Amino acid sequence: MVAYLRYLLERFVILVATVFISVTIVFFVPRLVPGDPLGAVFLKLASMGGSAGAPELVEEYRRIFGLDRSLWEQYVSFLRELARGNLGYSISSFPSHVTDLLRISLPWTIGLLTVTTITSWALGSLIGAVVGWRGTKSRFFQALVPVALVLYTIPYYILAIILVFLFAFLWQLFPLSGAYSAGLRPALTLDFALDVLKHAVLPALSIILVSLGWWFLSMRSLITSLKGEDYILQAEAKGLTNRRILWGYAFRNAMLPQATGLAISLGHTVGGALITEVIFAYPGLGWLIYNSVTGLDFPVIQGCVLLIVFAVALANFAIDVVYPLIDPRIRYGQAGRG
Amino acid sequence: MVTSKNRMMVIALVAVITVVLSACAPTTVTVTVEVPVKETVEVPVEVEKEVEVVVTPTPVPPGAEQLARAETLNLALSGRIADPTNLNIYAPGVSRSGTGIHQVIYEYFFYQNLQTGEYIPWIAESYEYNDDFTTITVKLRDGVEWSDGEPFTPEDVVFTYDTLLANPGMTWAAEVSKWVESVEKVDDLTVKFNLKQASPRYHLNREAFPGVGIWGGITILPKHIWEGQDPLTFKSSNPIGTGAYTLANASATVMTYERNDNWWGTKVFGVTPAPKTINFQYLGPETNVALALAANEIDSPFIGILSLGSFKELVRRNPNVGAWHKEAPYAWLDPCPRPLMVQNATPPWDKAEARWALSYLIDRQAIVNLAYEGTTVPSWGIWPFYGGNEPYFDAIQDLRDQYPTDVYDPAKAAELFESIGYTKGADGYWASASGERLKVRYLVESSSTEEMKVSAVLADQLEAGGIEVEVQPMTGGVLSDAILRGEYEIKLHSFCPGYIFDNLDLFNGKYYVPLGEPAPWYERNSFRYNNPAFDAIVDEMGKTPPTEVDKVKDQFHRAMEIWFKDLPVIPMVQAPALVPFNTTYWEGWPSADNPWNMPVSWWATFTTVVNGYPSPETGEWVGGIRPTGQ
Repeated sequence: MVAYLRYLLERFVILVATVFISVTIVFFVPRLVPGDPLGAVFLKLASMGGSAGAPELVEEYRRIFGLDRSLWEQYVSFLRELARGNLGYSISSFPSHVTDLLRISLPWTIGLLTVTTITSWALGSLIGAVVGWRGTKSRFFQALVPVALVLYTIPYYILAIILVFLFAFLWQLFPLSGAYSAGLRPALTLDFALDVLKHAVLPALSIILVSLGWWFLSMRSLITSLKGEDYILQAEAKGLTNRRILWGYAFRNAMLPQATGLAISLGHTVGGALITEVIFAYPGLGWLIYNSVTGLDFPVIQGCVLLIVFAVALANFAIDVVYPLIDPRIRYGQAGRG
Repeated sequence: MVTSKNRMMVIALVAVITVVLSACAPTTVTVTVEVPVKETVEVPVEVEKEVEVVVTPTPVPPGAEQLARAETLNLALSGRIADPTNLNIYAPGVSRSGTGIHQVIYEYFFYQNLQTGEYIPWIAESYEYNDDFTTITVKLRDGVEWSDGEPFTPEDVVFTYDTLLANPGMTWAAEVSKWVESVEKVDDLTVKFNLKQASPRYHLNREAFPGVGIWGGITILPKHIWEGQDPLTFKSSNPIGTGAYTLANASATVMTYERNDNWWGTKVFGVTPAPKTINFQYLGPETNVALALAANEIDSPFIGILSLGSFKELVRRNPNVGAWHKEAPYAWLDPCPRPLMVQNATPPWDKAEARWALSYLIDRQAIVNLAYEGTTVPSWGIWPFYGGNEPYFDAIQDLRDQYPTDVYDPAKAAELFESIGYTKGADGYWASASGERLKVRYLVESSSTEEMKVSAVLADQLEAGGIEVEVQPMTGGVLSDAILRGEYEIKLHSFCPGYIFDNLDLFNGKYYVPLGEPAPWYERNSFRYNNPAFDAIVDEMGKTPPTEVDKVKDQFHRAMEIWFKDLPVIPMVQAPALVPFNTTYWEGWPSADNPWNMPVSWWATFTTVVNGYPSPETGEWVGGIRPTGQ
């Protein structure tokens, strides 16, 4: 138990260090890009037909955002504010707080991506296991492999365009874009929930179909490689049913790497799916990240990356914590003593 | 150079579209899919493929949904809304005002109809300057109310200006501070603006006065809402204006406005706006907007979304979709023409001969045909070809004949280059006496399809003319910084606001800063032109009331004599605004056949398109969009 706690502590230190280093890099790198974040804001003002007071305004905001101070001073105050949970104001959509921007986009991203990630993972793993186990015996199962390969290699945005064309324009089964119908007010009603679901179908499908291929293929190859293992042979020799060997022996062992993959994928979901969001005008986080990077909106870049780093680091930490519990072969790096 | 990734995408797209094409042989609707490839591309690649599709009409009797659609005006935004809860119109950043906030929530004293030259009183009735143009007294309209029922009063005007004068971080606060000393209430319907300097043109300065021409202007705030708030951090999530609509819902992709049936205008003008609901929505890329227009889900998109290819196909298949002109160039002319800025501070471009030579190397008609697909026309100057500007154009006809700024004449260019000591080498490039090859850095906004297309054609023309062109696509802060610091030889740019005086004033030496320091604004002399003789005339013009037309014409003539000779920037083309509209549910849209207004849904003036407006001449009601009864 002590060893396990020690192992946990080690992992936790790594988690904190990872986050800290990432935060530091994320603070400095965008600032090394030539250009002025306020310049980008005022380039946008140009679409208002020019602004006579722009230079004075730029000066004012340079002061408000502390951009007139040295990099080191900015870094220290950034860390201080971060410790208080304050990510600051967005530069390009001042006076919105970074947390406001994240809060608006995050639910859509998490809603769409966790559901699609888990669905495609579960479906892909199950079908992959069955096909891997009995693939050679059934023509139908064999045919699934090239289908999965095609799906996996199609870029998901191309698939998305096809889906929009077929389902939204040609057959008009689903809406073209957006997260819910224009004119509808978000509320906790069945109508609204159904509307959101209807809007989520195509974006979700474009992601599920593609990632399904990957989970399917990896599970299939895992199962296939396990077939020759001694313990499978022993199970067969004991006369266990095929089904029991598959789910009780092969599948359980194959799940370990799949679980790792799932955790990492889930960690990445907070990064959003930029192109899906673009094609479906879906209000997620990918767009926010893209927009803040091109606009040099430092505080928003920091906020988004922090979120991603946190999620991925946490997901990894969670795997580390859970792994020794589900797989006794992992002995906290202290084989023989634990 | 097309990156391999982009090329792959294009190839994949062609493949996909071909597959879809073969799957849908029978036809009724054609959709053109255009994929402009951006980023590191120097030559924009477009994939154009016709896809024939059957749309099965749904023979359902009009249900509640269709009735609601018939009362709804749907406009397509060109971008997502970063934070829909942040609707503070005075915080920097533009996405929020054009999303309906300045069109249907807030209203302005006066609106300019650039198409007809009218100055339309709206929530104000009239204005009057004193004799030396140091004060302007504005009579407010009786009966104007905020959407929450509070009266609109001079106190609101005074409060707004006091706030702007006290907070330099508010958008346009600096411009207000430059012109306005104070604003005071005279009586319950009158306010007086005390100006810092004599200005007979103050009522046209939308950045300091609530008189809107292009885009938007100074917005009067409701004192009872904004008092006690920090005007910079107040998010104004539920904006209260005097407009005919109130905000019903704001999200990252849709802003929904509902008609206010207690609108003051209904009581005062006796007019009720036709749309019950207005949606400003972001639908995603061009293809989505084209599909939505084809399916009559959208009534009009913002500028810059649809390319000519998509538009032509839409028109062919959906007879209800149209634009300003029925035929080419289809587009309305945007008020900000596109000249080529030339860096006047960098040799040899500091010489007028070099700039004129550059001008002679440009075949503008080819740029119109190739880069703009014929949607615009070449331009000899830096003003939009509007009826209101014609008298001034006529006043300088002699100079226009003398200085052919829109002529392509490589022989003349060669002559001019030789006159300043350049010789053409065996490699076909011009070189200075010291053997240095003539070379230009050409900055291009990489996220603008228009600029990318022009750069492809223009760079070829200049190379053919013996100038080595280094195209530098950039975007965002990096681009902004490079332009302001003058780190370019040439850059295509829009010159706003397009008024005779204001566009001349962009060249004023008072905006000159040395190379390397940031200029006040892009077209406000980042090209570093400095000619005191020219400045004197422009300053004189700024002090002349715009009503003294003959005097202004004379000043304009004198200024242009210098301008043409120096040619600080090179006129290129008029700016096309291809704005489709759909007459399935709404009619009465302004067009070349009936040019009663500007076909612009992203400016504050859009309220006069939706509602119509009282003619300042006769008082009669003009225009307004009407339901078709579908």
